[in-house]
Amino acid sequence: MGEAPTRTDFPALLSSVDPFGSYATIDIDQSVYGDVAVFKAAYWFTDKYYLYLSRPEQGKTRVEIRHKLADNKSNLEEICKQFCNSLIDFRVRQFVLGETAEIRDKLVTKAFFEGQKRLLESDINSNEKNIPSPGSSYLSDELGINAWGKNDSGAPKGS
Amino acid sequence: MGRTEFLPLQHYSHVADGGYSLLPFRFLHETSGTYLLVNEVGEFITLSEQEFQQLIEYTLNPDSSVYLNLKSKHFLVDMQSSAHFEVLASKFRTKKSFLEGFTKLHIFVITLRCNQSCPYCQVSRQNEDAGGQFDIKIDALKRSIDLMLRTAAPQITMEFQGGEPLLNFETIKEAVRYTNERNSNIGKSIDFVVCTNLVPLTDTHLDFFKTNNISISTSLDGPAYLHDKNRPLCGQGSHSMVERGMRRAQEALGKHSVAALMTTTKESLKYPKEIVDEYLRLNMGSIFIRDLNPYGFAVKTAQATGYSTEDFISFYDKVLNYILQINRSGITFSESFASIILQKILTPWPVGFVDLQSPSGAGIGVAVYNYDGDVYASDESRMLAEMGDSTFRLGNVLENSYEEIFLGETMQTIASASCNEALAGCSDCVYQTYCGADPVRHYATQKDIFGNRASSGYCKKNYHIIDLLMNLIRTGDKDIERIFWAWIHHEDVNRMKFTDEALCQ
Repeated sequence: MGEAPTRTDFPALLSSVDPFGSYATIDIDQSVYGDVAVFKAAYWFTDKYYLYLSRPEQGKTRVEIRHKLADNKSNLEEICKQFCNSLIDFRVRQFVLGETAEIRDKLVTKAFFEGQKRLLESDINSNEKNIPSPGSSYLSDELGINAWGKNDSGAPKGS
Repeated sequence: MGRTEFLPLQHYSHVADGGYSLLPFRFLHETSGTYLLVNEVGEFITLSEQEFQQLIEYTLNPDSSVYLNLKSKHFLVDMQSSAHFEVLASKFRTKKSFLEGFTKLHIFVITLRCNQSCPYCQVSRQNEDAGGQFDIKIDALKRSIDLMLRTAAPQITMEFQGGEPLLNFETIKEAVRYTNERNSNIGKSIDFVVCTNLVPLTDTHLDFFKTNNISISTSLDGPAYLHDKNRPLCGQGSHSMVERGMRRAQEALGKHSVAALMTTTKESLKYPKEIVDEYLRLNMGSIFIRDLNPYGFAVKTAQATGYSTEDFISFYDKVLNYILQINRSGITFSESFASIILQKILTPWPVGFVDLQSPSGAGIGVAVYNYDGDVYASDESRMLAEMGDSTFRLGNVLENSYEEIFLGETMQTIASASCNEALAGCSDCVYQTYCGADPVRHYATQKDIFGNRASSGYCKKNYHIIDLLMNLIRTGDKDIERIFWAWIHHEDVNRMKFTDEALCQ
């Protein structure tokens, strides 16, 4: 089987080798970072590394990192340290997201509120009874809706 | 006469009652230790570590210049700035206003016949004498135009592509005639563009283009030895014909009615300066440095013509650097992709470039009407279909209604992966506001419309270029500032003056 894990100068970080190759693990305190930050940080390492997340015990998330390509010479311990720094950034991002989610929703709602204003279908439906006949003019005002030709009492202006 | 002057600064600075609240933003923790913050409307600011920590701990001094800067740029809001929220909402609406009117770019593939056979061609093609079966039929053409004119946008672009569209010139004429006739009752403003390799161009074509205010878009990959290698014509070169066509078209239609695009191949990577010099020699005002799209012939010839994203990025850096040198020497010449991104960074305005829109422009901003009546969400969608995958076929103009095509299930599927605000990786990216989503490309390269950003060439390329431009802006170099604003405003770089300079004159 593999070698016994080696402690590094980074307390939560262990490195080892097994039949599948070298790997490193980091144990993350869930209460400090939260699962979302862990997954978001892990996401960005999936181009060059295989990552496996597990729950070794209550309150801990373990991230196991392995090279994707056999000829990848990057130091796994160094990669894990970068991962840990990345975790901090994503944790802060989650904090900012939490602080601003509500106001962001309000912002988008406010921005597009204008788009909700529209005429009701009943407002624009025609009853087909008042189709103008050829030669008729708006001046005859058969429906009595001409506003600029009337005074405040509704009587024609000038009367 | 009395003087007007501002009250002392103390009149305006005050401790905000109730502290401040954060407004939405994303950030990048830079290797130098500073933080770059960008908000929902593209405004940006750089903070030191200490300032950033104070900001998120709500301990910033409200009388400090950094507080006032953050407030004016909509990164925080306090009780004294309720109007800021209204302004921010207005800016957000403006940034997304490209959605108004729905589809604005309508591409008509009027023939698959082509007189060239470019190894990187992302467009399916047939031989020049292949016959009318690969030309668009009149009923499909007219029905496609009818659909185009149903879009709500008051201003649209009608673009003719192929194959080589000039091989079906009569159809172009009929299309323009029919469009103008139908539009006379509608009143849209329509820009016509013909995408042509210019090889078959004659004065007859140019007369028609001039009469109908039609622009030309062509391909120019660089100097003759490069262009001819990329774009052979019956085993010979086509560069001399392209040059002749460009000069004639510029003479007949005006310089600004002729645009050229280049496609970067493996061979192109060797000649960053030479390609730019060729565009300058032919009196072009800009160049669009395009990478190879992973479709069509380009997939088959990837071994010969392809390269990695890293190679393209390195090439782009060299080209942009050289272009900036040219501009510093007083010659205005822009890089189009950079210009689009700069508009997103430095202005409140949206862009019409569908690849950098969120929601993605596929289907929403652009529609492609194929010669056989099929409608696709984008050029790339059509290419996938030619390669045997019709995932992004929206419908057929002769079989489906407007609603079935543009609001149907396929379009909804594309839309579900089109908002980078909701995509893994993009949702936290500092450059989200300046970037887009490309579900079709991610499907083509990763078999997943959502895409994995960590391994996405689209993401790597865009991130690098946006980061490059952002860092150039943040140097505070006045020449860079002048050049970038000249590109945005299509102005002469020598005539860009800023207020303090203008006042000193």
